[in-house]
Amino acid sequence: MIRKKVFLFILLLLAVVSFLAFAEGKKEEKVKLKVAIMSAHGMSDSAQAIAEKFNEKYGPGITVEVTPIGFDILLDKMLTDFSTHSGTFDVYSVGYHWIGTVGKYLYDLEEIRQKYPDIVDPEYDYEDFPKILWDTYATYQGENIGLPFVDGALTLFYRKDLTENPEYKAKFKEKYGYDLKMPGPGDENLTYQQLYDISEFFTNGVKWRDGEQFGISVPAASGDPLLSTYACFFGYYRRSPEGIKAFGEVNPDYGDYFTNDGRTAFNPEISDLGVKALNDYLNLGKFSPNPINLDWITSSEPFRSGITAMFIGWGGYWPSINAPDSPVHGKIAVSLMPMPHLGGWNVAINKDTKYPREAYMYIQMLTSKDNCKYLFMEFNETPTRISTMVDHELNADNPDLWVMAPALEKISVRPKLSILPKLEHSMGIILGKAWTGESKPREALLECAKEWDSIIKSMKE
Amino acid sequence: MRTDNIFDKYAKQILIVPSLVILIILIMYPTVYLLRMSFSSYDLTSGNPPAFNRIDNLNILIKDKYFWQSMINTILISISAVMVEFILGLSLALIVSGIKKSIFFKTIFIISMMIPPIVIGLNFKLIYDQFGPLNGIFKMLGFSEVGWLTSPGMARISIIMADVWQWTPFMFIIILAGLQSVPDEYYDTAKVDGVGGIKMFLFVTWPMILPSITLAVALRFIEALKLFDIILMITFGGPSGATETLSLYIYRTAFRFGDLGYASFMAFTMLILLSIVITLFLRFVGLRKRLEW
Amino acid sequence: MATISYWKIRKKLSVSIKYLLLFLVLIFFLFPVYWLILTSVKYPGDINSNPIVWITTRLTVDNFKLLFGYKGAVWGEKGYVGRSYMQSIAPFLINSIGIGTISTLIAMILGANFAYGIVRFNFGRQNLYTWLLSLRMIPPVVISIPMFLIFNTFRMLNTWTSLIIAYLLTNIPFVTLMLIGFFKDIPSDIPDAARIDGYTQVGAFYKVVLPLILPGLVAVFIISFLFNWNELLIAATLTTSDASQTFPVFTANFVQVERGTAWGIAAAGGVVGILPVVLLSSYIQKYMLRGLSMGAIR
Repeated sequence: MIRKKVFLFILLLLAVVSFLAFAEGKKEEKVKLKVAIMSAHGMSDSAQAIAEKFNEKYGPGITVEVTPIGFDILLDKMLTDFSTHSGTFDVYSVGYHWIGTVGKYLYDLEEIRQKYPDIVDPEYDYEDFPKILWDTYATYQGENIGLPFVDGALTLFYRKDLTENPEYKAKFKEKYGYDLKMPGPGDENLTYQQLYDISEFFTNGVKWRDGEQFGISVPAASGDPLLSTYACFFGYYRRSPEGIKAFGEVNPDYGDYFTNDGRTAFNPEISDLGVKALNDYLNLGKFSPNPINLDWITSSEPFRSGITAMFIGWGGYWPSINAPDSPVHGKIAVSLMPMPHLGGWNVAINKDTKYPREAYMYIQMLTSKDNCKYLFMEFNETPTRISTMVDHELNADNPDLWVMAPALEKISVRPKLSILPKLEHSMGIILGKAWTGESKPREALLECAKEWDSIIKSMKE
Repeated sequence: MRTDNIFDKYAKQILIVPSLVILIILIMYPTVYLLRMSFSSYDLTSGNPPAFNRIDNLNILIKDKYFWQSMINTILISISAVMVEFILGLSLALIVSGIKKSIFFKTIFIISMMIPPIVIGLNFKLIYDQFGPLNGIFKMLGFSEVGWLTSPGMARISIIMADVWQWTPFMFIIILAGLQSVPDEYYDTAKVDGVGGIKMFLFVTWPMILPSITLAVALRFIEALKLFDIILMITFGGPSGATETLSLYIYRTAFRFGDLGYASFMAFTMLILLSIVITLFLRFVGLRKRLEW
Repeated sequence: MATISYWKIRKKLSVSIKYLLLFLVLIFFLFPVYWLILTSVKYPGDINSNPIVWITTRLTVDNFKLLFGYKGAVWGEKGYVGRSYMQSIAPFLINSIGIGTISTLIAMILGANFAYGIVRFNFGRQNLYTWLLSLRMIPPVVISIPMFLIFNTFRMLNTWTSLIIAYLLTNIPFVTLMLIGFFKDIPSDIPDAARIDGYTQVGAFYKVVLPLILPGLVAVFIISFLFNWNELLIAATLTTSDASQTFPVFTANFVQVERGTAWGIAAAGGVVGILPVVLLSSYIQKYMLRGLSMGAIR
């Protein structure tokens, strides 16, 4: 009896499976776009919201399905999808620093615009994107490979209830001899010395909460957080007159970390500026919860729960930190880092897609002028368009918006090289040793520079 | 008896051949593929097809300090984790063996063994947080805060602790089974001879449970060499590469750096090394004998 | 007299120390589970808060609702912006259950025949056993690379089939090893007697021997299924979307939701992930030891 039942069950199962396989194999007439979006910064919220609008307008003939994918996995998935030509997703959100790695697999959008002039939005306004964003997000080897979707700059979040407290201000002035004031619109950026002073002050200069308190959250977890945050410190010197003299102008493909001719710039044998920057970084870390544990998420959490007075993070964190149930709700503001660092995302089309036309329709809609504004209002999506960045009404309502435009004026950038993942990995290990105290900053930088130079050499071969 | 029926005449073939053939295909095809890739350069970022490159990958491997570092990390973490699990498991088994309700502990412990490692990683990430519950308990007890994941040593210890949390029960249950299979007469005889305490343990209990212990330790060690999920969640290889295991580094090389050729070579190296460990384990642990074949 | 009471006290003391130790061990093992469950029912403001919330009566099931794709207002806040759009866990659970069940079932059918053949006909002996054992112990990362390339050439990445086949590679040896042990426990008189009753060799196996070990079969099925349920690395490399991604891949993907505190939802996912083990643990606990020692200990 039991055997019969088992047999029947298996038969049923096989039937179901073969039915499913058949159903899947049936040719679909309708176009179903698959879109992979990074799951952070509310980017997938935005993509989904526009997808719903899109489906309303063009459905059921063309529909869009958004799949959120985590930051650390997205590059792996993209790389394997592209290189195996599986065509799993038609549209991807691509971090600009990954363009070097996957750029050759992305559709040249100009080609689509030429081929299907009927779908090109005449009001799209390419001039509305800041030049730096268009160059970094949308361009690879002269081709237009994506449309700027989400802007990102490492921003200084701070507790305005603390920095504006008259008692603390007086104490600060007494101790450091100048006024405690976080730069607002039109002000000079802080220097790293000032940032150090403020962090020190809110760590042990004044008691502002019961229990632990820290001046600042400094992310230094190996991988992307370390690479990006150190760029804030190194870029500060890299782009100073002294740095330009030592390393030459910044090459947009190689970014701040390299000299104009492609050598690793923080090498102590070329100049002391790398060591200086790393020392700034390490010193600031003294006033932070253990920086080596802090990635983008875990560095925002102490700030959000009210333990740290400042925090270096992406602008996209604002809504979650300022959420209604957050202990610091309404008490926070943003300011510019002494040297910001550029992050950010485009939306790009997989070269293997069967539906370039439909995919372009979607990404065009996603990044249109109106939707840029709409997404900022709805999801606080960091805008890529000047029109939204400087919108007076929006600025009046949103205290986090003003930093976007000035941040882009002088900003450090990551390399757009195919071997970036390797650079990131070796920097995490080697400069990580400077954080754990296993090696001295100078030694670590020298080792890292040698490693990077050999990786670059292998890339050129 | 019917012997002319094919289900009788060819019973052996009918039972064995399909599975054996499928299994051989399942393992040979990927192995040959892996072997072929191991001697090729295949870089996903370049977009070029795989190309035979003789033993270039070997030369890269010899000079690749991250590979050797991850090998050291893997061995270090596995050996210490297994040692701690063994000591804890043995002491627990010795304590519990006298208690009637040992089944209660068994059931609780089985759950921890089969929890998805990814969930354990997630959970311990929460627990090791600088302001998380573990430091909270430490502070309540009057100790100072511990940087669980901040130094290479502590990070390794934290990973080991998570592994210990999951796998001590395995040691415990195997050793307990061994203990409970020791006949009472042995103890009685020993008591009559005036042997007790530590001596009783060393001369009576230990030899009896040694086979189960070696088996448990060997199995655990081989499993621990594959550590991946927990590390992916808790440290992702940091700080300063102290917790990057072989599995993680190979995975990273293959699917993040896109260097499939070299990753295959490393995977192949790992396979050979592990085969050596497994062979040694089968020979010295005498698992074959235990199976009475 | 004095000596006796001294002994009594000492004995009592040692017993209480024993129980104290056990109690501490229990806390060590239960606390993480408690913390996971607690995190899954906390409001986001209470997770990662400072001071720490150890026990709370402010409970919510909204984390679970979100996990299963609920889109309305949650946590008592209308239009809460601190969370990302996310996929429901449901398709991933279905994938996990489907792939695990089918792969284990196929492995059971093949493995049962195989194991019985091995035992009944004394096939292969130690070398075969060693081979099966080493197959079971191959690191997933070693399998994942060639499997990825092979399934890519057959255009089968991101399908159930690819994962089912990949898992067969570890499931068949496991099932076979386990069942060899079970079949060896059955005296050979039983199939012999059945054959005198007119069954063929194969018939005797299916009609007489298999029903005898049914409880064991179910346990082997469950344990093998749970191994597949827990597996991350192979699943992560062979899949790209919710068409075939399993529960562990979902979790690994999910914790990266940066916006806001997603820990509560992630923990809710963890609770869902340990449910099968908790539900099935009492059934498999008798066989667990056997399973984890690859059938070496009975």
